[in-house]
Amino acid sequence: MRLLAAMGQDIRFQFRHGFYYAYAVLTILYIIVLRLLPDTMVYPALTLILFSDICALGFFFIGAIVLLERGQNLTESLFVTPLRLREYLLAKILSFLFLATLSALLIMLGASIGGQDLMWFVFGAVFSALIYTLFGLIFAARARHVNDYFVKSLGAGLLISLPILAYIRLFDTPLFYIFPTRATLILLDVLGTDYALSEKLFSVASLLIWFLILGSWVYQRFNKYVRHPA
Amino acid sequence: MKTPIAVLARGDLKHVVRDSTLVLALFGPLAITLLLWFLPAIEMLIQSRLSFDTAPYRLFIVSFLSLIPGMLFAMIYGFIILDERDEAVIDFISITPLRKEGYLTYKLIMPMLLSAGFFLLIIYATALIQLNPIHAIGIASMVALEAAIGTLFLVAFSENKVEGLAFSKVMGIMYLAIPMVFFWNSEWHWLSAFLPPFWIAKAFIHSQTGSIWIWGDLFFGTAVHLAVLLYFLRTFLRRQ
Repeated sequence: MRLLAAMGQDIRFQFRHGFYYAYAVLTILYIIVLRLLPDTMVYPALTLILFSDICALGFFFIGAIVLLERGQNLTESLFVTPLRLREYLLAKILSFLFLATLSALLIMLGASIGGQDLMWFVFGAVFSALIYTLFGLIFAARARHVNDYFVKSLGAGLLISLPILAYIRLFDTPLFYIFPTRATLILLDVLGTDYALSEKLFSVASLLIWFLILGSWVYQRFNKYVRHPA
Repeated sequence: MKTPIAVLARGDLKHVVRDSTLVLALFGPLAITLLLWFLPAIEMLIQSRLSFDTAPYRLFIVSFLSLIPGMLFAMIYGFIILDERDEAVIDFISITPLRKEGYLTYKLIMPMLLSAGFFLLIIYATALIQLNPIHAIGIASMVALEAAIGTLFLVAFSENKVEGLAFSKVMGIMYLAIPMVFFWNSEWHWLSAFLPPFWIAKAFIHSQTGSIWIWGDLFFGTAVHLAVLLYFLRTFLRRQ
């Protein structure tokens, strides 16, 4: 119940700050672009749109949100209430998942995109969105201002996005399979490309493991720097 | 005697050295410059790996990427203003001799100078296209005005940094005018003439084809940029 209430509050906050309007505009634009593209380009474009924007939206916004809450001393009051840290963090990542899923769904409906591997695709999109937000939360826990958050998180973000080079077939190495983004790019791409079952299973396992690693890391950082700041 | 601007600049410099954010923030524009520096090699790689000839798109790539540093500086300074507004720093400055107007002027001139500088650096250091220096200065001044427009857009309509971030997402749409000018073979592309980058794309094309219309682009382009800038400036000052 507490989790649902916190999530509802986060969604309301995002709505009030124009996230839903901004993504309504972007969703319509993406649909137009996907409809104008030649057939062969539609699936790669969808993969890149989801990878770089829709699934990543939590990563983009979470820094400023946590900074604003900390600046207004909201977190101090919040953790006096029965709300657990785990619920606070889950509400944050699930509220972004809601917006990302809504936007992705509308884009796919608007551009009439589907396929038989939809289950793999949905799993990939959902866990990518969760992981992106967790990744942002790691940096949000200690950021001092918005630019500080972006410089640190984008530096690490660029590094972790290196498997995009393999996706556009410019450079590949087996090392890329360690990166969560490699798994993301495979699962977001299953609608347009055939992947071996082993590759898909590997990607699912990779995203699950990364989710657990990042989740516990974020929990520890928030416990140390936000709930019990020195 | 130290002018208030010098004091403010020294404060910013201390800020930069202390937490190195802005030094690192230069990384984005430098990365774009480096990317364009290696563009001929990347074009060859794409040609050999994907057998796709990118040469016809070079002017588009250069004009699009040369505007990205401006967008980044607009965002960096926009977020500085938003952070300082959320922390009530602007209220403190408004009672010093610098006043709110001086603060804003300084925070707008910095992204303007940086983006115009990077624009000229990208065009002449990479030498990917030959641009008439007079045309380049005309375009660079539009690029500078555009950076100020971007910064003001982020701060004029938003209540705090979170809303500013949502606006920064919408701001990217402005740059859609460039592909529209280059690739939409229809008179309908004039629909995007109210977007400032439209005129920069037009100026690039007319300068390269040696068309007399370049002067029209520079004139009307500067006028559109100034009109948008003034509108955002008024909105910002009214809402403060």
